[in-house]
Amino acid sequence: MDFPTIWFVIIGVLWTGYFVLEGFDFGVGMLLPVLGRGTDDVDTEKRRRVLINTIGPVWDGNEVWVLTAGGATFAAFPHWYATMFSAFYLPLLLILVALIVRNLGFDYRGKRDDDRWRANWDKAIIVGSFVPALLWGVALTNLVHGLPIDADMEFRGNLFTLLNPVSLLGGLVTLGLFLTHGALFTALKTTGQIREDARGVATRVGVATAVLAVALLAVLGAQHGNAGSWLTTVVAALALVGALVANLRGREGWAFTGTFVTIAMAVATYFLLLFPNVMPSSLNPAWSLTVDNASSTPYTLKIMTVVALVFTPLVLLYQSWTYWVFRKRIGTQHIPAAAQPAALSH
Amino acid sequence: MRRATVGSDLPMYRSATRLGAVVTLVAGLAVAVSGDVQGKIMTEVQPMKMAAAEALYQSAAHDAPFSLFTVGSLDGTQEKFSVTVPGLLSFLATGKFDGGVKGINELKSQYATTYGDSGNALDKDATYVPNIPLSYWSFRLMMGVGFAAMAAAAAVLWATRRDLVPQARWWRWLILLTPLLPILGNSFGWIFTEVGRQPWLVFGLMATSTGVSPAVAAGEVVTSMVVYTLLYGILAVVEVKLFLAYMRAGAPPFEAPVDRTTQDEDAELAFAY
Repeated sequence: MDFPTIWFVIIGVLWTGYFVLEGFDFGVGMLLPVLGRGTDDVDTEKRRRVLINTIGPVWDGNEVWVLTAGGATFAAFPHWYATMFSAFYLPLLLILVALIVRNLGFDYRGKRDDDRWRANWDKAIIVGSFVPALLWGVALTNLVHGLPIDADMEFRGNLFTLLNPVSLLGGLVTLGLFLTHGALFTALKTTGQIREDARGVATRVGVATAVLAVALLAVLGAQHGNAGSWLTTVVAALALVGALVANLRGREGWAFTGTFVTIAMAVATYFLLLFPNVMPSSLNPAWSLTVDNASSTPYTLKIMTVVALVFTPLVLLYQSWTYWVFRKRIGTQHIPAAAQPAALSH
Repeated sequence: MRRATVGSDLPMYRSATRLGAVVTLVAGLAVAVSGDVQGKIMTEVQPMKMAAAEALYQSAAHDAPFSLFTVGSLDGTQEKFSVTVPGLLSFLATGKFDGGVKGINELKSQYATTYGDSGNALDKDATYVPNIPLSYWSFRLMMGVGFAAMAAAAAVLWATRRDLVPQARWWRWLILLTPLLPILGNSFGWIFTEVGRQPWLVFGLMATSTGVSPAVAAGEVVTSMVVYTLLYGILAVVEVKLFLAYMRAGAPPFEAPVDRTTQDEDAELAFAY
């Protein structure tokens, strides 16, 4: 295996890491109005804080994976980075703005004891989770489906080229997968009424997602499918069904593992459908960006590989440690009173 | 820093203030040293930037002066009034008071020869000279703001020596505004380093005009600039209002630490969002 192929695989792994981790952050954020609805105002506020605190210690570390995926693309495949980020300029702007307001929502929400303040930041969290969950699916599906790229490796479409039926279906699939994944994470990390409600949401959304996912992977597979991609597709489908069955049986750990594998296999399918291209051109296959014509020099890739081999185990180690430290289930009884100075309350 | 709420928390506020002042002084010195090293490297690899920083049109073979403040003609090529320190530019650029510093005019013709036929986009409309007033002033503002922060820190340390508590109202303004100085210094530094390198993206290898993405329309770029400016502007207002609210409220009342190692399953979290 040569260096460009190794780095193609690594970038696939980094995107996988991002979606299996930040995926449930998006799901939990979007489920704030659904799972965060309590019997009265006090209960509602406590339930929302329970949801936010399940992902509280880990959302920041999860988000970093997309930075490594983008950074690896920039360094290992500069042409891919250039064409892709130029083509997706406005969607990426939307995603970044959404992420900024979502992240601030987590931190600023509790800084003032005011209902309108909290309600506004909750909206920021919900919208800030919804937009990336949808648009990342749209973006990656566009990569696989093909974009109008000319002989100079430049994107020749506009914003509406990116919003086509197949890519929108892809967006709905990631939306549904992240909602399911987030609901199952909530079921795994909470006690009390929220846990029960989360399992119900996971079943309903999961079934709808399964239908859409089958449609999507069939359409994409028909275009570029190969033995490897069909295998991962089947594993993804089985994992999703297994997750939903485990959820019905109350086996929350297995259910979450199931959607974890589903998302991982879905990303694997995408990368297997892509290979050996990195950005197929819908105008002319000869103009596609490939693993070979888009990559950096062997020297650059060699240095990057050494650095990656040293630091990746460290990162995996300390991130797993964080999850281990915060493994306890949270219920409304664990949420303390708001922490800001009394002088700031209304 | 309302006097009414200070009371028994005075020692805490003293420690915090003096720690901040000490760090400002030490960090300021470290930045001056690292900046000096960078300046000498800059003279070697991007000599036009150093010339632009001083608006040095004529090369100086030795003892180049450093001007603190210059009023020039509108096109920047003639000076009308200037406050200079002799030999200081040579020292900043080369480490020796009698070192030579190349000027803008000499470098301009040197680059026209070196890069003129390179096939780079530059040779058609070649101005190898960056924006001189912007480079000149941002360089000085960067350093001035840094030294001002160190001076404020020294003043604070002097005014709080032994057990003194400064009483005059203007100390409040000084303490509030001093933290803005490093932010401004940082920004001026970035403006200088980017503007001074123009028209190059990578000096001598890639012009900024060659680096522009052809597939991104100017309208999209303008949109993103406007969006980010508005977003960060609104968030800055929100954040400053939070800062001020927390400052007015003062420190929360002291609570003795709680031993959490023997608590039961349903105890509240020590910290929760």
